Amino acid sequence: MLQPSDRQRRLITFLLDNLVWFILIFILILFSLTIDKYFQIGIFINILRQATFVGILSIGLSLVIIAGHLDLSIESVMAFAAMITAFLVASGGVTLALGINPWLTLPAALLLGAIVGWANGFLVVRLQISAFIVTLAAFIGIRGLGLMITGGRSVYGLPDPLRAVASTTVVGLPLMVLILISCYALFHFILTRTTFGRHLYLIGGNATATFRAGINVKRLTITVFMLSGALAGLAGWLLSIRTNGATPNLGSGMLFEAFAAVVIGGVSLQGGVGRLTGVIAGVLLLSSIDTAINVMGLPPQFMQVIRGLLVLFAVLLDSLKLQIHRRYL
Amino acid sequence: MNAYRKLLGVLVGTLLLFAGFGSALAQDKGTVVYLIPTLLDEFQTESQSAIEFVFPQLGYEVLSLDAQNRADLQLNQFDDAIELEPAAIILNAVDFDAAITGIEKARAAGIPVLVYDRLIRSIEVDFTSVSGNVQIGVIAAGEIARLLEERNGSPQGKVLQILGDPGDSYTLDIQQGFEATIAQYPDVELITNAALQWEATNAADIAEQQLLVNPDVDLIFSHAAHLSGAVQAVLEAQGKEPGDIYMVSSNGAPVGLSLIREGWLQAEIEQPLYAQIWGLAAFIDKIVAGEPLEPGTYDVLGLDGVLTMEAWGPNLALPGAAITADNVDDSRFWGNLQTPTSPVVPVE
Amino acid sequence: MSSDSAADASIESSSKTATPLLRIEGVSKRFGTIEALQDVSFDIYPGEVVALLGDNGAGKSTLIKIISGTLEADSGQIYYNGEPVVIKSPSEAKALGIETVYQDLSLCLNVDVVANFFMGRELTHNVLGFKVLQEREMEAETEQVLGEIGTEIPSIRTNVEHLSGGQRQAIELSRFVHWGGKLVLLDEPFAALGVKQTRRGLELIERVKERGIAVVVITHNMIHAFQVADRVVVLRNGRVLGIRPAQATNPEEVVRLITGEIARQSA
Repeated sequence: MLQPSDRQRRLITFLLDNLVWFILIFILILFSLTIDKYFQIGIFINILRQATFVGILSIGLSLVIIAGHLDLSIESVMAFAAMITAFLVASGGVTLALGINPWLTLPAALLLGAIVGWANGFLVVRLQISAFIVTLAAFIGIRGLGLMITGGRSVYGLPDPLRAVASTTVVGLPLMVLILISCYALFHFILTRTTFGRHLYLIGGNATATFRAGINVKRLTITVFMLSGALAGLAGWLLSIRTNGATPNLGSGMLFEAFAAVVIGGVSLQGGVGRLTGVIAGVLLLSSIDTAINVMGLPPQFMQVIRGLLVLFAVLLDSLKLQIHRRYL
Repeated sequence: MNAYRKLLGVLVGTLLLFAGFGSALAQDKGTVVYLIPTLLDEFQTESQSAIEFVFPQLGYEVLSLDAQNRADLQLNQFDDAIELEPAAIILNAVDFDAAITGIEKARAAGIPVLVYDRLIRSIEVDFTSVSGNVQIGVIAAGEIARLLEERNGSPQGKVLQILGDPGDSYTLDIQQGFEATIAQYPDVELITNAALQWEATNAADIAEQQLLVNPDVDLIFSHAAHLSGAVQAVLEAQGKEPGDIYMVSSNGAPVGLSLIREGWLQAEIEQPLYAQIWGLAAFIDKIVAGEPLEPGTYDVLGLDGVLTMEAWGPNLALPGAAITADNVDDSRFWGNLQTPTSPVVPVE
Repeated sequence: MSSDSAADASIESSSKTATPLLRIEGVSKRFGTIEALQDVSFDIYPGEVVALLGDNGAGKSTLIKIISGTLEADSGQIYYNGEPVVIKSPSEAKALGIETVYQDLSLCLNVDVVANFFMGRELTHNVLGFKVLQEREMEAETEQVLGEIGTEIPSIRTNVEHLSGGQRQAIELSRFVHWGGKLVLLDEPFAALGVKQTRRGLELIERVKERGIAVVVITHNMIHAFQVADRVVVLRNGRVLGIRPAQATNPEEVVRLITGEIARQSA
């Protein structure tokens, strides 16, 4: 059998590890060459801006999956946080229209997400219920909770300071995009450089061994669910700003987009494997394709078919990577 | 959300049933079961409120069941409803074709089926009360031609049409009526995108993309007001002022009326929600009694309802209306959420 | 029988003058209707190697798990340095200086050798409230320890999943040598090892012992047991059948204890 040299091996590993980025770059070049008006800064900024919500959801989802669990509740938590944000301070529709400082909605959204996350984590850790079931129940129930508060109606018209978040740009980049990038930078740092991040990988790899090593697996698991919830709360807060309010079905479908992005980004559903640098590439890949379809005016059904194929492709790629690793490295 | 809704539906249903059996109303004409396609839409929530407000006035108990956009669940609800032996079933279908089995079963059991809002052409029913979604598209096209003329001197320009979910025939009907009519104006260029699942963020994304590749868009036509809400947020974030780009939407939800008042939206084509329901109520006694209906024009909440005999049975068509800044405060628009106080006048 | 073992124990302890590092007194554990451990008592002294012997299901692993804080005993008392203690979790056991090597390896295959070596003991420094890993320091220390033990691993930045069974075991063993504390519990540590590696493992036990660390080792292999053990403790059906100084007994007697022949005779 052909044995690669050390340099070749490192090159192959590098290529395999960053495959999503190469695909993303390839797709962007392809679209830029073939689609009229696709190649412009504005389009790329839009791709980033539209990636904000699924992007932030995907961070929390990745953390939970790396730690060996699942969080299906994020989409509903996001929608609920958006609903609460609008419900507290919006001017039209079903709203309390409180005269409070509108910025208080941000801690409210974060806290709300963290509380749901805590409850998820508590049930998973203390009552030993599978995360799939617990968070599925939360996914269903919390969407309902949001509907209950507003009776299934819309809320609209956020106060000016919040609306400004959507229109502010810093050195040419929308504030939303900067928030997205900061979140990724922060959590990439946490995952790769801190004990907390290291322990998440350990738990996902072998929870028993981690527990035996004296690491407080239960507390870490609850913390990771709280982080996932809080990130969903942040996404919800931003989403309500983006749409200037909240509608009953806001954000529906984003859970599966986040799952697709995470899988495409190379996070293993088995736990313990994955990096946020891959996940953001996965998110941007989906966002670029959506944008291309919008700009081309293709029938939107294409979007779903393409996404489905992408996820399948990602999984195939993953097993291919493993085989290459086994055989040649 | 679905399971929760279902549970609530069952709970409310049970309570209503008990209430129905418990209180012997002066005029107890039995139960009317209202089959709701989804409650994730303000048109639907307001329809439910209006139906639950109107029918008890005539002596009917109302049992509302939400199918959460699932055609299979709606068929189960049909079966459950038939067991209750109601005076009538009002159907707002999730899926036109899937509902046929349920309609056949109910009518075979002697229960009249009334179709509300979502027209079914492929089978005969006892009554249909619709605004005609195609008609809404036609009215929208007229309004848009008028607005383009006002803006550009003649009916010409670039229109971005944002559909709802491409799997929903409601949006496809509007599209059909709209595109057939707007085709009369050769100088109108049309770009069409769809907001999957009627999700507002998708509409915002579309608007943002299109404004980049087609910055000369004159008017954005969204098939629901809540989509316009998200589009407005994008326009505002881009530093646009009300009127810089015209906006039109259809269905007449509260957010649309609010956008009209703020000047962002130039027109909203509403579905005559209240009139459609008052129309149902006006004919219910006759339908339950099995008496024949007379074709003709009937006054329903001040609108001219036209009753015709179609292949799918008696059809009451109510005209949709264009809402503009001039008439936005009119209480007959359901978006103002003022359920009419005028009593139902049963057809003699 | 229990009076027999108690007598043995008292003879043993009277022969030593120091306080035992660990004293197990009357520990019992039940799983449903199965009595995994019944009234188990014995002592371990600093620098002593005790071999815990017995057939499958005799209760050896259960006992180890109770000492290491993974399981809680139903009754009985554990004394550590003469003080009564309750060990509720592995982290509490570690705090006392008790290190455990389990039968099924306690390695995370998805991370590299360094991360495994420092699992739960990461070297960090504080940056804006974050505990930031000191990768270079950890790498150097891991390299050094593995070198001392004489394990050949191509790169300590390789994920453990790409290593052989022997290499994995070596990492596990290197952890107890390095982090030994005061008491090391080894549950079948040589199960996956080749001849050469086993010999090195036995040497490691000797080395640890020389540092005054007490070792409890579970093994099925009589030769291994008699090579390293100062005393042997034989368990059968959850009871202590005998505690013997290694010099005062031989593999044949131990085997007969394990299989129950001696118990039958005495009964």
